[in-house]
Amino acid sequence: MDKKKTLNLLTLILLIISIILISVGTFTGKVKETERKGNALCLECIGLG
Amino acid sequence: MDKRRKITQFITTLVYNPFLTNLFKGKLHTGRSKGVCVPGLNCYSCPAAAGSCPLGSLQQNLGNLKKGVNTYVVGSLLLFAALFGRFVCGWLCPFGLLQELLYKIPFPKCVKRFKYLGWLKYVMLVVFVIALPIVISIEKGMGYPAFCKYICPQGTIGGLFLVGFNETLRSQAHLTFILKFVILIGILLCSASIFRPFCRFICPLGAIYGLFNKIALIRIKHDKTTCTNCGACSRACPMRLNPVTECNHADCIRCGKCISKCPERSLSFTGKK
Repeated sequence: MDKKKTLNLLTLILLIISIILISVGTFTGKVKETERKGNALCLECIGLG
Repeated sequence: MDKRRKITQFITTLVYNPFLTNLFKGKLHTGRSKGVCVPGLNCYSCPAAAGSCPLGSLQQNLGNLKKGVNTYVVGSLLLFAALFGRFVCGWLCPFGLLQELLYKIPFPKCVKRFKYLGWLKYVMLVVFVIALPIVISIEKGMGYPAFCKYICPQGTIGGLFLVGFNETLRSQAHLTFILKFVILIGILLCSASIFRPFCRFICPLGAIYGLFNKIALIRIKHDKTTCTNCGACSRACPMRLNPVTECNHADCIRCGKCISKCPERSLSFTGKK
């Protein structure tokens, strides 16, 4: 298999893994967790913590 | 292409930060959109921010591993990396845009590559984004976003508005805030002379995306059969790379300047003839 095809195959595998991870995260409430963290003021992030 | 890139950068900055009036109210935007990770470095504690910063979310998660890995944040990071690589840095990052605008100021330019200083961003990634949040959260029993707390200049910009327009927060601005403010000013001053110093030497998010530059869907391809080795591409590269030998290098932000300057059209984005 030439280099280009190998790279494209790797990209495809990565895309599939990332979509699976996002789906698992969505169904296990991780989006809500991210939303909760994002909605709370992170004092450390702005240098006040 | 540069004009198209600038327009994209301005649009993404506005899409990431649409709640501009919040800047002057000294309060955060809250809502469901904060559950969405944006590709670029954009602090979720900036009053105007609509989404979440993937780097901040990752540190929050690493500081709280008892609840399990946040597969959503890790998956989002992988998705952006697999699709774009450091194209995100060149086209979709608001802090990158700010540095580029400052580089336009007429000031003596430093064109050195600083090859070894480029490794610093990997140190930042390992120490401040991965190791410290895990180790200190185990000791303290609470989340510890070390990169956000001590370094991230993007969060300081949001912090300046919060401190400026919120009296309660102003009373909490002590030594760490001053340290972060000094880092921000240092980076902004350097940006007038060095092209994107934060992206080249410090940004851990760029370090993550850079690891995937060679396999990302959007890549730069080099046609050896038409290339005359004239050197126009390496002279045009603001990251001081040689696209002929370092095509898709981890530091390449896909700005496309080498593509525009190539007289033989030997360089192009994948998917384009």
